[in-house]
Amino acid sequence: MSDIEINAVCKSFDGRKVLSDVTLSIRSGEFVAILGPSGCGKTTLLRLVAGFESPDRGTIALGGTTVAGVGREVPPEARDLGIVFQSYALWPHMTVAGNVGYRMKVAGVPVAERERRVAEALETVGLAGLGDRRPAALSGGQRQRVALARCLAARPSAVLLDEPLANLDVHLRASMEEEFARFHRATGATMFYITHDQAEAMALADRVAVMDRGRLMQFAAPAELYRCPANPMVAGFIGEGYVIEAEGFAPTGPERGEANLLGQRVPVRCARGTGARRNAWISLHPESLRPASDAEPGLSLRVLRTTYRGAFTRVEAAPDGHPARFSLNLPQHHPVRAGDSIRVTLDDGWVLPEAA
Amino acid sequence: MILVEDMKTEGRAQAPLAPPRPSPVPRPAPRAARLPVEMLVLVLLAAVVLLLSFAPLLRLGWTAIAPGGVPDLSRLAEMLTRPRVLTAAGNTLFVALGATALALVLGVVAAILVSFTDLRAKSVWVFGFVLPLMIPPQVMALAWVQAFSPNSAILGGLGLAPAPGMRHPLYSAGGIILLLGIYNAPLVFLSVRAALRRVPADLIEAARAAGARAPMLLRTVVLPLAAPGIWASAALAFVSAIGNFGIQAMLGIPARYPTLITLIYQQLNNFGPSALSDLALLSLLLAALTVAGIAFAGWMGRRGDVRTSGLGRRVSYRLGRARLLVELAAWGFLIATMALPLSSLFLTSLVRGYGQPLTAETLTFANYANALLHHAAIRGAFFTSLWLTALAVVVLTAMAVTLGWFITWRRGPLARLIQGSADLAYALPGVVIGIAMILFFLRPLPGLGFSIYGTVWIILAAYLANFLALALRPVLGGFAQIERAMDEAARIDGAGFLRRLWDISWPMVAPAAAAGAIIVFLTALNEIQVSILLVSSSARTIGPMIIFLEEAGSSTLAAATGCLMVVLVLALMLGVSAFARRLPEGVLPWRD
Repeated sequence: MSDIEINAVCKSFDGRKVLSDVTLSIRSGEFVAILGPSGCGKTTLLRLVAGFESPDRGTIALGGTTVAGVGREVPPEARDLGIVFQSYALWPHMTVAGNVGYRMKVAGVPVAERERRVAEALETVGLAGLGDRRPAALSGGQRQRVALARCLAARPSAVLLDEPLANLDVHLRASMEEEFARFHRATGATMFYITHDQAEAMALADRVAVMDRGRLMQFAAPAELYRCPANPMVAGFIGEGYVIEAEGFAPTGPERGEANLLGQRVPVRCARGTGARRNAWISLHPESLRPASDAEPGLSLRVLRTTYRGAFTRVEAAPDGHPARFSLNLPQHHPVRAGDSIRVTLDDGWVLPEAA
Repeated sequence: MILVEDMKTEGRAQAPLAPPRPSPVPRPAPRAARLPVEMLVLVLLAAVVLLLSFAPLLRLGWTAIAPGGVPDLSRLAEMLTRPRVLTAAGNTLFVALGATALALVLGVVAAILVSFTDLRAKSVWVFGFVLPLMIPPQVMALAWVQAFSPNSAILGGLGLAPAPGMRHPLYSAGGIILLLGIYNAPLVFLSVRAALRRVPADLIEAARAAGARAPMLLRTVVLPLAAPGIWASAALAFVSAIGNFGIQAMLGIPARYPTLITLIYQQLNNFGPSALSDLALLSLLLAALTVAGIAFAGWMGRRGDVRTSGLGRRVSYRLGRARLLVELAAWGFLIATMALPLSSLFLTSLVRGYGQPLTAETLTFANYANALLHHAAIRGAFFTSLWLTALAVVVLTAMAVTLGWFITWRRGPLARLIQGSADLAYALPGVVIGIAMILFFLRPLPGLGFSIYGTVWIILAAYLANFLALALRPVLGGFAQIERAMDEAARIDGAGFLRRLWDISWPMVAPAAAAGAIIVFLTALNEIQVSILLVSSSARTIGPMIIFLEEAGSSTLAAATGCLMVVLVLALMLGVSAFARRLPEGVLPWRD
């Protein structure tokens, strides 16, 4: 089990900057998800950690040993890593057992021990008895389990997973998610999980690193990403969030304050030590707003569009003559139509520490 | 050869997860400075390829321009304006262009018929149409010569044989163009068929919905979209025609119709290596014409943007009542161009003396007995060709797989240089490679003190230089179908470069490599243009044997040897076809 230290790493391809100054410190045994839209550089980051590419600048250390940077370059075959590839990368000319046991064969582990450990790994992922099959004879979910068993049998100190669920049906994903969590609990290996699906990242990871256009946006626990996004990108990317501009922010407590939103004073949360400022960006989620009761002060909005979402109705609304756009969820017993007027109140808001 | 040695090193149960163990898989500790095996292999590969193909060609160019060590432009001008050289160059261009035009017409028509119509027994017809590609050109030429000779058994029987004493109709520029055209039509066919199959079906269907009938459809949609493929095929046909020694020599020398190739051959025969600087210049001229042809076709093929998206799907036109007519014409063509000449060759091989009619009294198998058992030179040539070709195939396959790995997954400048140099050596006429090899290897090897000129090793070197691109092409196709993660997964599992090459890349590209090996084997066994200049009394291959026998007047023995070669080739083709299902699609040219 080893920690992964990525320090000020930069990488360009053909003059195009793919990673700029990424620093990420992953604790030993931690499950970390790297989350971002396609093209944000997350797969390049994985390939750098694996050793398939080398950084232009910066260093990478695994378990305290520098493996890339400052003139050192430990090849992938000597980094003691496991990888679950997006396409699983199972060798079609080998049996399932051959795939799972390849690493031990290369390392010269005696046949008897190899077979025992392969059988053990296959049983662990629920594929006992399928060792003689060819990968082509397996379903997508089974192939994924073989790829996992290959990692398991290798007992690597860290496992890199490159969008491992991207090629699976929706109904298989939930059970594989559970499988990854179990794998992590049982092996205690450091997990480096690449995904573009925030639900996957939030469900699995201890901490999530959000990336955008080659930069690390925020690295925090899922709840903190949701409640306290560091900047507009994270605020907009996580949990259908959005950002509204407010004026005249003034702190009222160590982590609380008030700001003017559409002419009303609303309470908001803020980072410790945030001082008074003229303009503040407030991060909201649809869940942050609810219809105001008659006694409460509220914001008057006009409904632009409604979308049926089953348990609730998603409502896009805007104040008359103002560019701001809000989105909120209304319970089904509160029917509205486009053009209606509604009054809402703010339950929660977060002042972005970094300006837009 | 050093490389080969390198290559040889070689609803489910919820079970509880095993707890982590303190003893992980033992592995070597990361070393800071590891020997970069990968780099070493690439450098070795580059050294071998550049030494075998690039350096000799460079030497050829330098000798041509500067025979005395300094560039001599006046000699260059004087040589290039000699009437003999001008005539030969003009003749070369004339037959090559004429043959390319004929091959284009035949090949495009065949490709359209096979791709778009409901012709019956297509795969058999394709096998027959593509067959010339696999038969040695000198054997084809010999067969045609005998089919159209005054005492031709078959034409004579039909009363169509030319009158005795008349000049043989094929001993002419027209004869050379006809044979080269028919011989290269399969090249055009294969390339154009592939291009036609890539034309998206919805574009064809849209044209039909707009009311276009078949001729209109072909002229306005199909052929314009296939134009790059057609030009590419024209380049192939041109290169093949300009470098085809077998047909140019078998017909051109008796016809006293000199081309650059036959001029080089005859000058080397008459003056020996002392004429090498003149020969180098002639070779350079031939190479320049070849490259100009490729460049022109490439330029034509790039005009206009015909990029499409969408998949080609088989579109089939019903020929209706015309079908029988078209089928008769198609099969008639095969009978006239393949069955007739080959059966004449076979009949000639069965009589004792050339020109004898085949009757119960004249029927003999003495020629076969001679070729196989008694004639030491033929037997030796067969044997030499077989082991030389097999050795070349093994080395080239190993080189191609290793090189394919670098080209597909590393794409460094060195890998590209190797590929470019292999492509160049393949595109240039074999005679040019032959002259380059003589120039490069004539002097004793440094440090070894002996020359490989006059031995089989210079032929092997020429094979390795000339056919690497041929072995590489299917291998690259195989690599393109493998995901890079396959190699990376093995890397993560601790496998080093050679280990991965042997465990992962090799088994996965093996079918494609095998197909490439078959093509190289057939080509090297059939070839004549490379070894014709390199053979000696102690090192003979089977390809030039036919020419020597024919020149010595042993036509019946030549015919028997030719028939044996055809049988060998057919047996190999059918043998490989038996497990065609395990090969990637499109690697066996004779399979539809």
